[in-house]
Amino acid sequence: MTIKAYNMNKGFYYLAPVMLILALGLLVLPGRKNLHESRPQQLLAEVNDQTRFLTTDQVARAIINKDPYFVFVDVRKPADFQQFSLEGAINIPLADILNPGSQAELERGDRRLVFFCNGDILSEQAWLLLRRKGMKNIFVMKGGLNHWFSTIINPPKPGSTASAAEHSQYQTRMAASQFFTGAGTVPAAVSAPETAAKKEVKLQSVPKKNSAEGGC
Amino acid sequence: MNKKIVYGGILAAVIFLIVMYIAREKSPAYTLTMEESLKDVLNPANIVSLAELEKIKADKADVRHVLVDIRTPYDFVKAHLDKAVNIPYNSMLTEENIDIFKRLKKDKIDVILYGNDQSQANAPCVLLRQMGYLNVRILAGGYTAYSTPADSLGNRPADNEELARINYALEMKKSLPQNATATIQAEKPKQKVVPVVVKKKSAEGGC
Repeated sequence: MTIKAYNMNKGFYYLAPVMLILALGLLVLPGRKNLHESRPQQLLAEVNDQTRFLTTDQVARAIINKDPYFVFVDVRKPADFQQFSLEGAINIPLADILNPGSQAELERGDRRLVFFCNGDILSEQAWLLLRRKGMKNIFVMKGGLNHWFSTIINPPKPGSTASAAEHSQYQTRMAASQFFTGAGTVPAAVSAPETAAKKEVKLQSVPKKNSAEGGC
Repeated sequence: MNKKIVYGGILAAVIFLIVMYIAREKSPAYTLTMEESLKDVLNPANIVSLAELEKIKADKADVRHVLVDIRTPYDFVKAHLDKAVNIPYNSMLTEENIDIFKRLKKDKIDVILYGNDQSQANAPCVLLRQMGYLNVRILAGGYTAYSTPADSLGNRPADNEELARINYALEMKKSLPQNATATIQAEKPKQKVVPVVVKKKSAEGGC
């Protein structure tokens, strides 16, 4: 019995320095700051992948279809936002993007955040910072509002050698342009076939009016 | 049994320490904190205007500035700014290229990144600055803006890509339905005119 007790004590003598070494090891750990931040190389690879971009066509479709999973964040100054912005967009100026209030707004719900500005740069700065922070599901509208106007609001007419796909895209964009500039209703080209049938009904009603006036 | 526990404990501790040593941060990835980074990207001094570039180029003996072309070697070979060095953006942060930036920083050389446009060079510039290479700046507008000559009025392409190219609010007003010549509008005047004509005729005829 005494021999056993002797062994037990020896065991603790070995364990004590082990505990000490472990404790020292834990001191080394905090040297690794901010474990959750993405490394620069990883960020640069993602930037080069270009997976963060949404086209203006995709954005137009999401707004017209009132897609609840998208939130469009205007990162310009409030004065610019007041003058014009995308329908339903929220304004979080780049300078305020790390404020607790902004963070709360951005992290609310399981939504896809799409940053935009006039060009590409401010929105990319927002994306880079938040991606470094570890935020997922964040995107950038490629080309910004300048591109929005030159593709959606004023889409370029397809040339004589354009493909069928380009013509179809032009039709969709014209419809989207009408939607955004005040028509308010969903034109046939963008939505489901039911509205195409509605449009045909309208055309039939016009001749009726003409015949009534002719008769009097 | 006790001995096994003790040896097992020592072994676990040693393995733990080895893993921690291997996984430790070789060098801090970012030098600037998030808040400092935000302030940095908002600082207009980090953008080199075309005018400043002209001044730098005018000084032939200048050795304190280096132009770094971040485009692909293919684009670089086709045409690049005078005396520029090519470090393609997709291998910007490899060990060899980081060493180049480390050396440039040590020698206190001013590095100016440029791409086809400013947004192409933006991410590499921002990331390098966040990693502590504060001697790195970006050329406003990029190669396209630089190489496009001024037109007959002396205008150069805008080197500020963040400017709104048109007045958005005005453009939206222009496109409103009342200003458009859609067929729906053309029908309304017809409806207004026809009933009036009919009424007048009956009054003259009947009365």
